[in-house]
Amino acid sequence: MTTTIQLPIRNVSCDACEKVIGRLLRRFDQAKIESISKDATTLTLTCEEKELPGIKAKLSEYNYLNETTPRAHPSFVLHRIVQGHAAYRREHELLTQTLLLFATLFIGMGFAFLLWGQSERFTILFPILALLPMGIAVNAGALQHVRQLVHHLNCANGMMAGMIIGMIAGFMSGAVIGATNGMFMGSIVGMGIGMGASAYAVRKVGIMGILEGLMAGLMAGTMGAMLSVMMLTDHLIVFLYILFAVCIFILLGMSYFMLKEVGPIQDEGKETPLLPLATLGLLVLLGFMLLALFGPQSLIAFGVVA
Amino acid sequence: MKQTIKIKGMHCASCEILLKEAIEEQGVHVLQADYRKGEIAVEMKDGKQREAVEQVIVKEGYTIA
Repeated sequence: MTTTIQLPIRNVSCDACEKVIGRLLRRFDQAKIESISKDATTLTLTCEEKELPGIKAKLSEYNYLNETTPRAHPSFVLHRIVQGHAAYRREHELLTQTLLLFATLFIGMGFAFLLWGQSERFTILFPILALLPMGIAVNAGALQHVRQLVHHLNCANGMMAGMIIGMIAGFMSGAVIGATNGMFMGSIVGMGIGMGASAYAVRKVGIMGILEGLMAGLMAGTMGAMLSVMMLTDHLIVFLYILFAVCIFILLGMSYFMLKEVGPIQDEGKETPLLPLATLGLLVLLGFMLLALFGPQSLIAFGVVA
Repeated sequence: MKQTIKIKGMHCASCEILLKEAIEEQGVHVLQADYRKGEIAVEMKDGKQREAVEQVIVKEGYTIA
């Protein structure tokens, strides 16, 4: 039975795109383009119902089918990314790179254990420091994702991305250093990392994105350290693990939000190769470790509270 | 022999796909199409094929640079 349907599309920017879609549809006996919306987001076509799955698969293969519309459930998108589906090839690479970075940092943590494992301060702080590889890896992954899409983000989206990056990076680093070194150092480090990371991530969006990120970094950096110090005697370590889990969930949400707004990463995006990224990640990890082990001590580091 | 043809008017991946398919329909093997550089590399047997390829490119709405 012949039917007329509308499909969400993307990457249609010129006559050549319409011609290519037309050629793809020619492979199906009854398929015919009826129209493409003026904003090039909707394709209306006529086809046999039984041809529809094949048409969708072909459009998806050539990256014309927009599978990141509100109808695409986050778990569906995540599944496609993990599978390495053609439409999400760059996201798949980014995810793989983030996992490799985590593995590298985990090994780095192992070396730190060999080096300082005998120290009493390391033993006391280990449950907190163990959060660092995961924290650094997910923030680096999120930062890379924003950097690769930043040219396509409008002002509002850029502000949202800048705020999330600043908030999460500031909160995580502020909370860890607040717990290990006290509120002063935690606030300074949290603010510095939150503000720096957000400004770096969204500087191409413009001054509004940067300011939003700076404000978020300022607030979250100080707030993370403050919460850690306030919770020193009240399940701080458990709270830090919950906090990190929530932060990772929010960063995943941010990536999904960007996918919905601007679609998958296109080839023109900038990507940092794994080697320099891993080197930078190890240096950041080393910086955190040195500060935690040899910097000013919090009450936990003194062993006053557990 | 390998030849590179400079083309004006390519601006997306679809242009690459379109030209590649149109040229290959003429029995000419396309080695690489690059819209950023605005060029297409093809493997041709003789000069006559080049003429045919250029005609196809123009027919699809592009200009030989």
